[in-house]
Amino acid sequence: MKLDAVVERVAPVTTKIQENLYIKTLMAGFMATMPVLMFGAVCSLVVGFPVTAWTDWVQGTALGTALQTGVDATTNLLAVYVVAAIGYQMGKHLSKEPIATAIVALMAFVLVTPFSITTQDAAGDALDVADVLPVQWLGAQGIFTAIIVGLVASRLYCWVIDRGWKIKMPESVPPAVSKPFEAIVPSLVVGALFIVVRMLFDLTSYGHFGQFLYTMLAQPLGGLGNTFWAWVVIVLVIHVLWLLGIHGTIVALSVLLAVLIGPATENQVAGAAGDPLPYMITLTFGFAIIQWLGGPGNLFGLATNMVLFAKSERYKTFGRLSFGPAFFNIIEPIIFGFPLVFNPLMAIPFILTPLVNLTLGYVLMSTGIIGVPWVPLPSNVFTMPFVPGGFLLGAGVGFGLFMIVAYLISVVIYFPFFKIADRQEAANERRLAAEAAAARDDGRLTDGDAAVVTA
Amino acid sequence: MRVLLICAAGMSTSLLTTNMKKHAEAGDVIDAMPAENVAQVVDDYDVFLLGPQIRYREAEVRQKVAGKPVGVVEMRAYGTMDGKAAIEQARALLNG
Repeated sequence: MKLDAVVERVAPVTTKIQENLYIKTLMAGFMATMPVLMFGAVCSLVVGFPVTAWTDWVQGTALGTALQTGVDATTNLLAVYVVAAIGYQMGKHLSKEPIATAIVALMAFVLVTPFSITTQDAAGDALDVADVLPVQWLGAQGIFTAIIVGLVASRLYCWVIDRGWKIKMPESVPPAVSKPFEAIVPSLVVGALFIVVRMLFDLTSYGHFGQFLYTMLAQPLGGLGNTFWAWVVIVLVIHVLWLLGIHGTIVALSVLLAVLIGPATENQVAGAAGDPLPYMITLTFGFAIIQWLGGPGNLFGLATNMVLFAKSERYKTFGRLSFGPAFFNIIEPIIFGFPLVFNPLMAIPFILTPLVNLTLGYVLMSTGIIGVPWVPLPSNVFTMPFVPGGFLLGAGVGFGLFMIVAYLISVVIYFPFFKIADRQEAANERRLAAEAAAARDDGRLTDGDAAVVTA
Repeated sequence: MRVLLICAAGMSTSLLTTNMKKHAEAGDVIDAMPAENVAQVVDDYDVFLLGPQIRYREAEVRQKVAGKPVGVVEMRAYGTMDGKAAIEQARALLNG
């Protein structure tokens, strides 16, 4: 079969991507920061709940302060958690002491972070404050730096260990004594490298490494990866992979997370503070579309069609089986059981539905009819249903209603295609039933003949 | 027989696990787990089955489990969450 040949081509590429040490480390590192992200998301959701009466009241109270502290300590310092988690996962993947690589990564990150900030005094003049770590560079804007520094520092640390560069102790020295000395050379190498990086960027107009990365890489990439057209491409890639029976969501996210998570976090920080959101299209919005409406292809719409309209026994039964899981976005049963893989008829609504919903959401947000979501629960919560999911993103009731409309759209788009598939299946079942009946009739005759013979 | 089902996040395989347990024999162990964690638990299982959506990681899993039997659940059986077919496949892998 020709499509199998396509899979043979695609599968090694997706394997390569998932097998790549840095992508694996990055993905696992981000997953490990989940407790922090969740706590921050809940705090920012409550403090920034988009009802004016509530936000006006809560801002001044002790509760408001407490919740804001919850956001400040998590989302606003996310880069610190990320760099340590990445360092840890690198050590784990390369079979080194993970806590050592985590700490070295954190050290390298602090080494390139400025220790002073420039602010304004009461008269509005520039005022340098020394002996502080600028929180600005430890949160959303520092994530890209955390990724690069975390990966490089921990990889380099492991590399030096693998080269066997260490201070050798005489045989007579017990291992408990010599062991700590072995960490000296690798940490010296990593520390020296990042001090040099710090000094070099001190000399540039950027002032420090984080600012350089943010201006040169994070912002352009973030701008590029968080536009409507970028998401059209992302949706297409994810869905084509799923149609080949490959988990497209995981593959695409593992590549893109580095670019997508920064802007989503910037939105969360701004949203919790009640400031205008810097981005409209983020992972927060995109994930709600590609995952919360019944997973890729917004398949809960197809499950609904099966439950409501199936005439064939097969889809009636299959609808009952897949409806519950699909509500929670678990769609492998439909992908492989309907099946959607290699199914040219169902490929049309499978790709069309999320694109329509993505476009509709984009148009509604750009025209200000619905709010822009900013509570980034999504990158972690794969199983959140569209209700209540749409109401939990800080974008108000409007976005929640939009998600319900998007679901209804998915039901409508799948309807004609499902009818065709169902009619074919029903005809198939009638034919099989007729054949079986015919075979039974033949069987009875044969039995009768046999009875006569024995008699 | 101790079977480990492997998928991307361990969610859809956990559905199949439930159905497989209905057809299991006394003493059978059936668990589900993301591919990421396989290396740590190799010793705890005899047979490894991948969900078809991550069958592209079969070679990797094969390498991690060092010679133990590895298979990919047949697509249709996976889609219909056919626990009986899956457990028979596991048994066949183990005995073959």
